[in-house]
This record gives sequence, structure tokens and C-alpha cells, in this order.
Amino acid sequence: MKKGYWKYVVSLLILAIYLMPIYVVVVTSLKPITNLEPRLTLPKEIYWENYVRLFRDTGILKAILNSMMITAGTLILVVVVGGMAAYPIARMKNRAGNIARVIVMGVMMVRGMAMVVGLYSVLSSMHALSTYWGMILVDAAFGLPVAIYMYSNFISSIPDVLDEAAAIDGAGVFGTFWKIIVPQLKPVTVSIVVMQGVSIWNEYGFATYILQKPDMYNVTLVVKQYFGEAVKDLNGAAASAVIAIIPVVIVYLLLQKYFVMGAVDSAVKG
Amino acid sequence: MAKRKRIMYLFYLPALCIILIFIARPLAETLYISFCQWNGYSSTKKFIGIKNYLDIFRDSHFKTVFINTLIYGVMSTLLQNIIGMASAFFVNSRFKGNGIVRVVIYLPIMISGLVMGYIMYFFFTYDRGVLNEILAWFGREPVNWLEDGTRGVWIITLINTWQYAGNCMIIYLAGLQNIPKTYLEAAEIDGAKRWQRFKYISLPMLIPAITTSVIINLIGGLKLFDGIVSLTNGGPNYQTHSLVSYLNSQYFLKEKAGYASAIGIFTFTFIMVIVIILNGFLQKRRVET
Amino acid sequence: MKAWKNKMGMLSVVMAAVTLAGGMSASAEEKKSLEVEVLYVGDALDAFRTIVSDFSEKSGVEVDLIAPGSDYETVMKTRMGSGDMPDVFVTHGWSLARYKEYLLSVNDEAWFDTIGDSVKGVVEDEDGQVYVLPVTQLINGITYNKDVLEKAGVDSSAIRTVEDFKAACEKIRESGVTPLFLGAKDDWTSASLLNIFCPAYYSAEGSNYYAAEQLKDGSFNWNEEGKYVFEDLLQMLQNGYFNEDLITADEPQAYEALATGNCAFQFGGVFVDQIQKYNPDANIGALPIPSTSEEGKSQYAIGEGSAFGIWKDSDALDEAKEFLAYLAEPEVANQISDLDGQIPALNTMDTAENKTYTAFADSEEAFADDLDYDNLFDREYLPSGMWSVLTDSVMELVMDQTENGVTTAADTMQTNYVEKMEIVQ
Repeated sequence: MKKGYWKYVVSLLILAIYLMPIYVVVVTSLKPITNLEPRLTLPKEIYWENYVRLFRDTGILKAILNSMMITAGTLILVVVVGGMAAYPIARMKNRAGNIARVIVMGVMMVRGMAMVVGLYSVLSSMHALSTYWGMILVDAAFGLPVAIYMYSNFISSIPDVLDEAAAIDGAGVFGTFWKIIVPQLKPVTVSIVVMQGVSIWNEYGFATYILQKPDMYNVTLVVKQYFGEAVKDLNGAAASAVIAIIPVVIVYLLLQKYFVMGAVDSAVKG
Repeated sequence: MAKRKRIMYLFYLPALCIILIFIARPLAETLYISFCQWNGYSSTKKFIGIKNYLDIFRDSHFKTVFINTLIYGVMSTLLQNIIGMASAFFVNSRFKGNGIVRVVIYLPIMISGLVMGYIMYFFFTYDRGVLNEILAWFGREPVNWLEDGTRGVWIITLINTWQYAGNCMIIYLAGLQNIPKTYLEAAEIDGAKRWQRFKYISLPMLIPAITTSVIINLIGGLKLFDGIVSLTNGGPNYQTHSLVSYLNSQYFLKEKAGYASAIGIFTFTFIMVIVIILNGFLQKRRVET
Repeated sequence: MKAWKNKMGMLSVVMAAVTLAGGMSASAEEKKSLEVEVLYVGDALDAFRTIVSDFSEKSGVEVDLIAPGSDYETVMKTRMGSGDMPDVFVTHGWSLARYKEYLLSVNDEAWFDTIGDSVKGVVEDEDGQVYVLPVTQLINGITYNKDVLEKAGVDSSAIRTVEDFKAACEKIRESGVTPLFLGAKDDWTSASLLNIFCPAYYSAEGSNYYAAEQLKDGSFNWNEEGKYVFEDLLQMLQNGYFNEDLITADEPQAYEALATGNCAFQFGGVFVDQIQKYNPDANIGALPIPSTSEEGKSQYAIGEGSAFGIWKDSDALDEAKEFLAYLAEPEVANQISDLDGQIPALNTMDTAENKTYTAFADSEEAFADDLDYDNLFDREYLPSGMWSVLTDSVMELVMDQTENGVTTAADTMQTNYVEKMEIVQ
């Protein structure tokens, strides 16, 4: 028993370092803007008004719904389209596959802020501004490369022999993909869903330009609104930050078991 | 078989369409703008050839920004992997509550980089900042943490490391759980020390995990943007900007859209070169194993 | 072949989903709807939303209100860059310098003659054309905490020159309070500081180094006479008049410090209501920028406050004009000045309840014969695109608080001034 004692000390230290920011945000959200006490102290009396105001005035519930729609839509697109594109990359061990791999990794590196004007023109000409599908397609475009990278790594680890056997049995390319590959993709899909889901949920760079109408705002934009005020209501902002993280944390806690298992196969077998 | 290959190409199609429309086309436009003098909004663009690219080398801030970006990319990757691997070993060892530690280390990833920057601002401000409050408990003078650009860069690197170390941990955890127990047990019976077991069994078995983890974190670090904007806004005097946040400020604040685009293209090319080298290395490793 | 069919099926599902979603977003109406983009956030935005919905009810015009907050400027630049502007938008001080080519002239509107003279000078171009409805105007000068000055034994109405101002700072510092607060993490604040001080040296009536013409024709030299303003800033920095954390503090901290009596002065736009949010009992006043010479006049710089322009290529011009006419109605205009906390710009508006106006009017009385009004320094005397250069040069001085810093800062001004002047000419 004594031998494992240090583990608990280290654990407590880790918990303190990792939970302190969240503690500060929660405590701040329960104090009024005029409160000038140290940030670490607990409020003398709990001040709920920040949350009341948040739900009454900012449409954060609609924003949560919007974020859910966008996240779900993007994930479906990324998983379907990404899985398909990964298949030939993993299977074609030739120049074309190699080029595709380099392109995918290159695109992973593109960060779009310099492209925002070009992107805006494209969306504006498609009437895609302030629409779910516009946002979904953009998020998908920037999420696809990572998904393709992870899927192709994973598919590479599935033996070719299975494909060949299926082909000999007369299955077409799509049939092979559908019957042999897809059923095995579950764990890596969970990883992609969690990792990409979080980044889509938290996306703000493009959302600022694409989701212009307030009733289309996603959660991050609502939080940003608070922090962007000239008179920063940091306490109100903290409340919005708390509400913004709750849904992701719940989903994460529900999925985290599968998530580790998913990571086992997707990351490691590459 | 050739026909199968042709059909295989069709699998690229949907992804290709999306990437062409939403990434390649805007990128091409950025390339064009990088050869122009343009303020970013006027209806007239003036073609000036490669002047914007030459300006990159005359820009006194660019060198700092470029080095910062490398620090954000390389150092966070390094630190994240060390911390991630250490915590993976720690969490993987059997003790009560290891699940909680794992969940908590991964938790900050759920928070957007932008919001995390704002939260960290609560900690690092001079007046009423949490760190200075803690210093005050010990009777120390408050420190203006973000006043010095170099220190600012390291603070941002550490925050980024802290926030995303969970990603590494999960990947390594997965890798560790994939190592057959019999290997380690056999080594233990043969009298191998803890360090030897790590060096000769765990580490080699973790190499695929390391690769994935390095690539994912390197991209994250090199593209760092949101957290910088909300914590220091690139200041003081441009000393904490990354390439991405710097080009954003050149584009929108300085109204030098052409120059910002040139930086964007430069960054893209620079990273592409790294990718091609890295990819070659990976392919080689694949053949060896 | 079967595989091919499957794939087409899948593609068409995706396509159908996309078209469906697109179809839902488009809707047809008799009266065209308006897209209105504003800079308001928080409570001000809520109040403006009420105004807008009143308008929709009366006129039957649907309005989509867009409020990107602190991203307003980048969003507007992006929209200009891709030729897709909102029908009506707030011009935040740039109706001429930046937005003019996108705006419709409003000289023929019924409310045109109600625009007050002081603001008209700011929004009118050389040809006498005006492109916005200015509902409020922004007063730029010094905001101060009356109690702090009183405690330190400083009489605000006696601050007539920059030397007086420095003496006041000295007294305040001796009383144990930080005289000046700058939140330079928000980069516009340092630009604002320089922009507020420059007139005292170069453009206010009777100032010591008066050079309005030279500034405009490009013959001004920042490396020579342009150094004087930096020399004085350097002196204030070296004397420790500024807050310790000026580099890393942000604008809200400046408001908070002023509201709670932890600093005496702050530069830039005067916003009494916003400061009082941090402390409703704060005793806040406004001061014009003192001159560099005894005989020179103190000055307030006037800028656009809530000013609304119409995109000239809008397909809903009539509705947009109707909207502006509604905003110009006195009761509505008063509501706007309440929500943005700035002072009225239309002659028909009521000023009795306006706190910023009261502070402003008090100082007008105290400085009656010693007061001058002008446009913001950079909009009037500097070529377009200099705003961020002001930030850079102030930061260079702050980072290197020596004579050397003055030289670097002045040189940054000079290089960019010459470069931007060339583009203009």
C-alpha cells in the first residue's frame, strides 16, 4: 500500500493543475461584474443572474441547437466522404496513391484565414451564407484531410487478402468496400467523431464570417460576443463559457470508453 | 484489375469536389492576391509581381514570427509527447482512480482554444491575475507575466502543451494497451529493469503511435491562432504572433492583403516541404517494418 | 455495375440533402427584407433589436440584424473584398475614408438638414456630399475621475496646457494613484493615445508646432518636428505616470480602474455610461486635450458615433431609405443615443438625460472661449491606412523608453506616412 502512495500525490497534483482553470471559470460565473474579490475565492453568496441573463437574452439554446446540427451534419459528411476517399489511398500502392497522400497531408496544414476572402466569395455566390449546409461543407472541407489520413492509416492495416478474396467471389469495388472494409471501421470512426466533433463544436474562425445572422450563431460565437464587448462582462462571459462546454463534456464522458478503444486501432495500427 | 482501379478513382470524387471548391479555389485566389497590391476591400487590385514575396525578407517582424511559429510547433509537440507519454504510463499503471485522472487530463481539449485563451488571461493578468494572487500569498511581488515577448511565447507554448497533452496521452495509452502483456512479463522474468523494458519493448512498439501523435500535434502547433488572439493578441509589439495570427493582422489591421497572402502562400509551401520530407521518411519506415 | 449504381445513389442522397437545405433558407416576400449590420453588443444590441422590431411592425419590412461584435471590422472588410455588403451598416468613423465608394449619398433625404454642424464637418466630403445618417457623435478627449483629482488637489478646469497636464499627473502620482491608464493589449488604445495627443502639437489652433497644411500635402517630417509628441510621451512614461501593466492590460481594465478610482485619466472616446457599469457611483468627467502653448486652444476631436449608411448597390434601396428615415425620427434617435452612450448628432434630439453629454457640456462651459473642435487627427491629417501605424509607433516607444525609442517610433511614422502618401497621390 505504501508503495503506491506517491501515485495519489501525483494524481492530486494533476487534478489541481487541470481543474483549476475550470474552477476559476465556474466561480467567476457565479459573481456579479461589480465583484472585485480575488478570483480564487468562493463567492459569499451565489449570484445566478449571469446564467439567467444568458438564457433569457442571448439565444444560447438556439446556438446549442445550431452547433448540434452543424456538428452532426459535418460528421456524417466527413465520415462518409472521408472513408470513401481513404480506401483508394490505402489500397493503391502506386504513384497516384502517394500523390493523394501528400496532397491530403498538405491540405491538413492549410489554415484558412488568408483564404477567407476567397472562401467568402465562393459561399456568397452559392447563397451559402448563414445556412447550415454552407457551414457544414466548409467545416467538412477542413476536417476531411485529417479524417482521410486516419482512415487510410487504418485501412492499410486491414490485410489486402480480404479484398482480393471478395473480388474473386465477384464483389465489385463498392461491394468490397461496403462488406469488407466498412464493418471494421467502427473504432476509428469513434475517434474521428470525438476529435473532429470537438473541433467543429468549437470552431469560430470561419463561423464568424459564415454564420452572420444571430439566430444562426453557434455556441462559440455567443461566447465570443461576450468577450468581444468593449465593456467586458467577464462574469457573464464565464457563464457562457461554462454552458458552452457542458454539452461536449457530457458527450465525451459518454463516449470516452469507446474513444480509447478507437484510438487503439486508428492511431496505432498505422 | 485496371477497371477496378478506375472505379477506385471514383472514390476520391466527393472528397475531391469539396476540397476543390472550398480549399483549392480560395487558395488559388490567395495566390493571385499575393502578386497584387491590395488593401483587402477596395475594388481595384494592382498587379506588382513578386514584390510582396521580397518584402517578407525585409520585414523586421517576420523573423521573430517565423521563429515563434517553430517554437509553437516543435516545442509544443516535443513537450506534449513527453508529458503525454509520461501520463499514459502513469494512467496505465494500476491504481484506483486512474480513470478519473485520464478523463481530467483530456478535459481541456473540449474547450475551444479561443475561450481557453480568455480563461488563461484570468491567470496571467498583472492586476488581479490568479498567478499574482498566489504569489501574494507567499508575500512576493506581482509579476507582469506577459510583458516580455519571449516569456509570452513560452507561456503560450506551455498553455498549448497543457491543453492538448491529453491527445498524446490517449494515443500512447492506446499504444500501450496494444503491447502484448506476455512480452513485458517475459522480459521481467529475464531480469530486465524497468528502464530496459521501456527502452527495448515499450518504446519500439510505440513508434507508430509516436508518428501519429507527432504529426497531429505538429499541425496543431504550427497552425496555432485562436489562443494567441485571445491571450496576447500577438503583442507586445508583434513578439508573440505566429505566422497565422501575424498574417491575419497584416490582412485586416494593416490592410496589406497582398502581403498577407504572400505570407500565407509562403507558409503553405514551407509546411508542404516539411510534409513531403516527413512523408518520405514514413514510407521508408513502413517498408522497413 | 452494381457498385456504380450504389455510389450514384449515395451521391444523390448527399446532393438532395444539400439542395433541400438550400431551398429552406430562401424565402420570398412582397416587401424586400433588409440586412442591417451593426457594431453593438450586449445590452446596446438588445435595445437596438427592439427599435428594429418596432420598425418592422410599422413598415412591414423584415430586418435581419447582424452584429459580429469585435469582429465587425474584419467581417466588413471581407464583405467589401467579395462585393457583398449589407443593405444598411454602421460606418464607425470611416464613412468617407473607407466606405465611400460603397455608399449612397443621402443629401436628398428629408432628415438631411437636421444633421448638427459639428458632426457635418466630419461626414461631409469635398463636394459637399454626405453618405451617412449620423445619429450620434463620438467625443474624443480625456475622461477623468473627479474624486481622484479632488483628493490630489487638482483643479481640472485649470489644465490648459500639456505642461499643466503633466503637473497634474505629478500631483496625482504623489497622492498614490496611477495618473494614466493604457490598456495596450487592445491595440487600438495606443493608436488612440497618439491620435488624441497629436492635435495639441500639430493641428489645434495656436499649437506650438502647427503644421496642418504640411501634414496634408505630405511635406511634414516625422523625423524632425514629428518627434515632439513622442518626446513628451517618453517623459510621461519615464516619470511613471502610466500603469505598470500598460502593455498587457486591456481596455476593460482601463474602464474598471477609472471607475474604481485606481487611475485618474484615460484617453480616447468619452463613454461615461460604460465606465459606470463597473461602479455606478463613479464620478466621471470629460476634458478636452490641452494645447502645447498658453495661447493655443484646447480641443475635442469629434468622430462619427452611430452613423448608418446605405450600400449603393443594394436591391432594397427604398426599404433602406425608409429605415434610415425611421432612425432619424427624434424619439428613435434619442433611444439610439441612450443605447450607445454617445452624444446626439441631430438637432432634433433631446440631450437632458445623456450622461456623456452632461460631462461634455460641463467641460464646454468651463473651457468656453478656449475650445476648438476638429475631426479625428488621423482621418483629417493622415493618409488612409495609418491607424495601425500609430499603434506600432507607440508600442515601439513603450518597449524602448529611451531617446532611441523616440527615434524608432518617429521613423516608423515617417516611413509609412511617406509610403501611404505616395499611394494617395
